Amino acid sequence: MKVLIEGLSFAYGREPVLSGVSMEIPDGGITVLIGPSGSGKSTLLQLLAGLLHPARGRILFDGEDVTGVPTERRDVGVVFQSYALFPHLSVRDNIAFGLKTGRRRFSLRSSRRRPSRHSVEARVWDAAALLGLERLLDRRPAQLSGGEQQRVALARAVAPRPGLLLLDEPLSALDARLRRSVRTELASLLRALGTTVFYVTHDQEEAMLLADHLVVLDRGQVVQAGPPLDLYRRPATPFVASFLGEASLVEVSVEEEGNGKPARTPLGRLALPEGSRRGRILVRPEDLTADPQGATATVLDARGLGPYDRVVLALENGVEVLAHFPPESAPEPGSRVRVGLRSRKPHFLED
Amino acid sequence: MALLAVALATPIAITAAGAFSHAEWYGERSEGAAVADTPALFSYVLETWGRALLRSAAVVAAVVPLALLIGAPAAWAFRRRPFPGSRLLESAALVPLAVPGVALAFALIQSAPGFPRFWLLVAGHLAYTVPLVVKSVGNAVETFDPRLEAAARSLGAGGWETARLVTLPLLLPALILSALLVFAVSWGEFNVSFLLATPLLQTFPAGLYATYTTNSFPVAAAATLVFLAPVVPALIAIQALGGEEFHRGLPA
Repeated sequence: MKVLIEGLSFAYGREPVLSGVSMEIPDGGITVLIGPSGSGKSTLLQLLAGLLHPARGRILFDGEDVTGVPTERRDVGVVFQSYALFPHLSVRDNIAFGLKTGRRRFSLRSSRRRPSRHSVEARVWDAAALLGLERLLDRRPAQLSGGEQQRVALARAVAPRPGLLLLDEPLSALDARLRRSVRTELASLLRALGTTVFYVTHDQEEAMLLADHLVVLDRGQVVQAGPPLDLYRRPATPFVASFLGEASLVEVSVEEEGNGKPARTPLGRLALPEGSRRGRILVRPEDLTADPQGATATVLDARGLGPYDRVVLALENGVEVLAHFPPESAPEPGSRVRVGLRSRKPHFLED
Repeated sequence: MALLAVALATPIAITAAGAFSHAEWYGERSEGAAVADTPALFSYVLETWGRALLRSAAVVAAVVPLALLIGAPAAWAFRRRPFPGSRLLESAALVPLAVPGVALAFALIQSAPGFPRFWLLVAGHLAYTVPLVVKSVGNAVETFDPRLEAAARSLGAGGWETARLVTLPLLLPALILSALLVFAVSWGEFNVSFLLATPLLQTFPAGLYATYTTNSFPVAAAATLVFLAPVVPALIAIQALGGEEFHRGLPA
């Protein structure tokens, strides 16, 4: 299902939460909405689900305006942050819930009928098998671990085969170690489903791992949208740069007209876009390498983290940059090193 | 706790002992003294107060469903759809608990003189029991996660389906608890019942009072036991249902 959001605004009382959000959720892919807490991402998900109603704007599902359509008649499945499993029902009945409700009788598409009892059982089994829940079907939610509850919530949401699957920070209730293992599983599972997925998170690693299409939300507005690596390499604003991974922004000012000549920067001579005067270049930790011809820098701090050494450097003009060096290659704090950028054409954020 | 239990249990024990003793007893209709066995004592009580007992049962049978029908939706509205002044209204709903029954009974007679006494009695009981329902169902609504309803709706359940499949089953413990509370209070209510009573329309507690003033101790004790018979199981059920498990919802 292709979703189009046009000029969506929402406020809690007088507090604006979303102001004029327009974006697209491409058909069949995983769209991840990322933003800090309070950016309005959960609100946007609830608007898509029909659990909240916008003050202004429209939501189109496959070209059809669903802005005023109640939740139960939208073709969506929702995985809530707290899972919201029905505590009085077994895992089996939780998963079967969406297969027995009246949605199909009122469905806009006549092809989708309320399934027979036999096919309810078959579909429950399919969803349970998909998520490895076959042996837990008779349990109650209270008898499940956090990871199991998360899987039940997902099975319950996908069993009716919704056109749009909405996930609201589905991993945030799990502990860090579990989250790491579950998210890889979840990524391949969501891809296998082939459903259009809208996934809300504040976790950058999760977003990069899952997203086909990444949308960054800040203070109720879409800041940037696109393929995740594009956003990582070419963030539109300092906010996007620092929110998606670690970033150092090094200020540069071009004294004379560039006309193609590399500009002098604290990191050596670099090619900047034509006509740029002042701005910041994006330095990702992995962009910096030891370079005998590079700029000199003082090592402020160095610590081996295992996969890499984390080094904080001070450039000549005092600007601090973060670098990741290969394991056990970090220089001593206090020593002076020469560093350069891997690329002569770094990403430049104009002021 | 132990002390409290002793303090509560002692009068009941003495009453029970009185009822089962073979002491001489005097009934209103007995001429002079008679020595009786226990069955005779109880059949005397049931014979004399049978009508009042039935009357009480009828009142309770009307009060319990009505109190729930009025109180539960009100509790729901107060907590889920708060409107300007709903807090105040919710507090106001508790006020009848503080009004002396005598005053309430007179107010009822004054305001609706021609109204059938039975329904005045029911109204009086509702004034005391609806607040209990509002309070206990309100607490349950408070702890009820509204996302469960959101989840039901996202799974295609309409308003009625959500209420039937999710909300009611999960609030059922609180509703049963309220029903038992209402039953216990209505069954034992004396003040309003006594003042609204007519010779033909008397509830059992009002009858008990008469027993205490006119009969000897064994008769009163036996009548008290008859009165307590349905209350004690209700109170035990309330205790049993107050447990942790119960609040998480009943099995479907």
